[in-house]
Amino acid sequence: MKNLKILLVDDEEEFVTTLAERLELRGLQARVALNGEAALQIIEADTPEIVILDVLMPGLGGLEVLRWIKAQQPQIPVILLTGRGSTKEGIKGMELGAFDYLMKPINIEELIKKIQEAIESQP
Amino acid sequence: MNKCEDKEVAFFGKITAGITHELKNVLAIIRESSGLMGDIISISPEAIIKHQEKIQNSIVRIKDQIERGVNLTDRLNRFAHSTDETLSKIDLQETTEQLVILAQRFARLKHVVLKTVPPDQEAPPVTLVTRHVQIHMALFASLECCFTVMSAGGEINIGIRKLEGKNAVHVVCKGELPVQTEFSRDISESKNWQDLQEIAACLQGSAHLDEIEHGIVLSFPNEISR
Amino acid sequence: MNFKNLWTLLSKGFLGHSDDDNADRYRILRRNIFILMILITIIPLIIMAVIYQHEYHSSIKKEIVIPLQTLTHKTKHTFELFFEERLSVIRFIATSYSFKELSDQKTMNRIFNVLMDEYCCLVDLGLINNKGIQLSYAGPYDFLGKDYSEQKWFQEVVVKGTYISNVFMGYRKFPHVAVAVMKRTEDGSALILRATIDTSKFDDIIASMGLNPESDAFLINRNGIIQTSSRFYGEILDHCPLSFPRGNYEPIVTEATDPRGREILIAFAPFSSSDYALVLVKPKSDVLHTWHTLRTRMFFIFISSVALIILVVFKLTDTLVTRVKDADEKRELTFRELQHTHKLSSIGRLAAGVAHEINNPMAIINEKAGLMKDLVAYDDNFQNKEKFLGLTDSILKSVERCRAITHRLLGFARRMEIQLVELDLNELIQETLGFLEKEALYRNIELVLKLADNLPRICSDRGQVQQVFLNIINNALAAVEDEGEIVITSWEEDADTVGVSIQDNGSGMSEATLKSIFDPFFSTKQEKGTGLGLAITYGIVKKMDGEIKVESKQGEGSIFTVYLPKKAKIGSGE
Repeated sequence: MKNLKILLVDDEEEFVTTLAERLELRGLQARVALNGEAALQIIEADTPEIVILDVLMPGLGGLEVLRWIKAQQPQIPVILLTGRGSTKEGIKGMELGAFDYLMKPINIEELIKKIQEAIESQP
Repeated sequence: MNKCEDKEVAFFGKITAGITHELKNVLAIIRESSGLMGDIISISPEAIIKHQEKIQNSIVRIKDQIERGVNLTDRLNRFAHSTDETLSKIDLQETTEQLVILAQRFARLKHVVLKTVPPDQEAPPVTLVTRHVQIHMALFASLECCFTVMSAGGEINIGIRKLEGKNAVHVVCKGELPVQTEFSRDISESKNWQDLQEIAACLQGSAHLDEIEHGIVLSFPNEISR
Repeated sequence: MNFKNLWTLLSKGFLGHSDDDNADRYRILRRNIFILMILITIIPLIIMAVIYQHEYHSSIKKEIVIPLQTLTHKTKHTFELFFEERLSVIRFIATSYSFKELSDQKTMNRIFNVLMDEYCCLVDLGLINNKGIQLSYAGPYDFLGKDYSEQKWFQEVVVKGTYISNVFMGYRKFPHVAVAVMKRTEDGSALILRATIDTSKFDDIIASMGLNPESDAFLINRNGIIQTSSRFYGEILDHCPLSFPRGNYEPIVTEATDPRGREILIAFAPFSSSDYALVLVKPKSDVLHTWHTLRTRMFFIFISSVALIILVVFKLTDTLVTRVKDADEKRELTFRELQHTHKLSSIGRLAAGVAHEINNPMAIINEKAGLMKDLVAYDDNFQNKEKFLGLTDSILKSVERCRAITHRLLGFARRMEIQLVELDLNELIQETLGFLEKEALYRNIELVLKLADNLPRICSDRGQVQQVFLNIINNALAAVEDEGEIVITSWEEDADTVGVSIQDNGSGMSEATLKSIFDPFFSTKQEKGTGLGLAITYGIVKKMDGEIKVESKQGEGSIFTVYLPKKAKIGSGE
């Protein structure tokens, strides 16, 4: 799990940068994208091993990015972050191939556990 | 019926306002904790070390309040969705528990504790097709009736019972209470009791004073017609 | 097209405008329908009744008149036959016997006796020579040798050949009539045979007409002198007080009033061969007895029909209008219920939106605090003082963000009663946008505000006005694509009104959609939406005495314009 390359995608800058810092403190390599387009660019340029993706974003939405990833780089597991009222999006994401979803505000221990599971579930 | 509609919006406002006040409290605590940390940190690195424990406590407090805040917004969200349709299928136990949570704040202000009686494990869940908001209002109004006659330190137990095929909610008051007759009289003369009767009528149900225990029995039909 | 407009105008004016809030509306409607139906049913009835009456009257009259005419004609004919018969007997005698025989008294007596046996009513018989001297005579009078040469009748019979006299009073004061014929002998001289008849047969003939006691029939002469006994109009040889037409030969029937004041029908039949005329008098009341019975019966039926019509129409109108009123009330009630549900659920949605919105800043606080915890755990020395300050600052910023949201929600929750307050529309619009900003942000929709400075405040119910704008702006958001634009403008329209327009550059609406846009249950969203939003919005605006208009072009966008009066009228209910 050390140095695992993670891509965090969320439009809420304060949230996502702080989360990235916390993950870094735990020895993970976390990069940040503030919107869908940037995320896709980063995935193409420097493929991460796992993507943590917020569903509700302006412009290219989370589910769109998920579709793209599953089409272009299906080996990358995706964990979705949803609002508490948007479990629908979470379920839809699962149907589109996301590994799982978590509701914000998240518990970092839980997130790390999920990341572990996702990586281990890879063939 | 116009009568039924009259108070719904006001009730919604009342509950929403209640939740919002609580949220504000949550935020206030976070702010204070954060402010405290900031103060300590601003002084000097040595002060930070000296008051390390305070900083850690502040952080814990913030986390706790966030959890509380999230619970509140969940409650608000769920309550907000009770207005989606005029008539909907509801789980009576769930709704009662929900309402009790929503009413905690009001109970706290009256120094009364609210408890729900856990449901009978064997019995199937009680579901009704009815006006969701009005059910909330009925339960809330019964609590308000009790508040008027109870003194500080009392407790209210709310439980669901299926009574001769009818769906009943027993709102039972415990603690320092006047005699049964006086208790009944005080409640039935209160304005809250009048309101409760109106709401029960809208729900095509009824609200009676319990003959055995100090309390109110609400009963609702399985399904109400428009 | 003109007729259609005219009809719409009439029916609207007559049956009332559906937008009327007037409590009197039903009373007016009832009255108008009642009057209209009464007129429609009773006027033709009256026209019919009048026409029938007229027709029947004339037809009855004819039916009375014709029998009268016939009777008179027949009776006249009987009279004429009677005279002709007598004349022909006399003529026969004059022809069959020679002058010598006739001048013989004995022969005259013999002929007279035979005639008396065969023919009734003969009074006397005599022969008169061409000098006017009575040569022979059989009868009760002593006329032998009488000289008639100066008398008019003698001169007349010499010229004309026959003569029928008027009635005169004769032997024992009974009425008589004289008939005479003239015959020329071989030597050219004239002989006149004259007979006197009593008029008892006349009375028989008249009696045979079978008249009822109220009627009268008699003979008169050309000068109006009564010749046979009349019941009501005078004695024989009196002048008849009734007036008669002159110069006709066919029997005619006229109407008149007799000296006793009765309305009468007079049948008048002048004889062709003599000076007489037959007069038949029937009282109108008698004759028209059937007509009057009929008329009374018709009148009775008419009155009871009218009464029945009025009763039925009244009841029908009442039932009809009551039904309409009930249906209207039911619809109104249902609409209000739906309106309430809609309002409540839109409030609910707002609250849910807020709950959702608060999550993000809380997530931030969570992470920040979490990081602080991590840093404290990982680094005992607190090297990074700035970092920590930065983190606490972030927390405070997020707290502020939450507070703003909860403040908005609280304000909204507190104001959920209907009350008329002074509203600053610009502020209200901005508050409303506050709830919807996030969505606009997520979809990159630009919100442009062109709100007038110093927009006058209006007096209205905050909740309802907010709901109007909420509905319209929500619609605009739905219509517009991502990266679209919504422009909200406010202005003072005139001394009494303010205007707000919400324009979007979305897909726009077709003509057909535009027409139904405010109809209840009309929706262009396939599964979502009840189709009630705009209908309710329309209802609210109208209740507040305002106006709402929409213009749209497909492919270009739509613009909703709301005009609100500065002084609102309190709508009933919510």
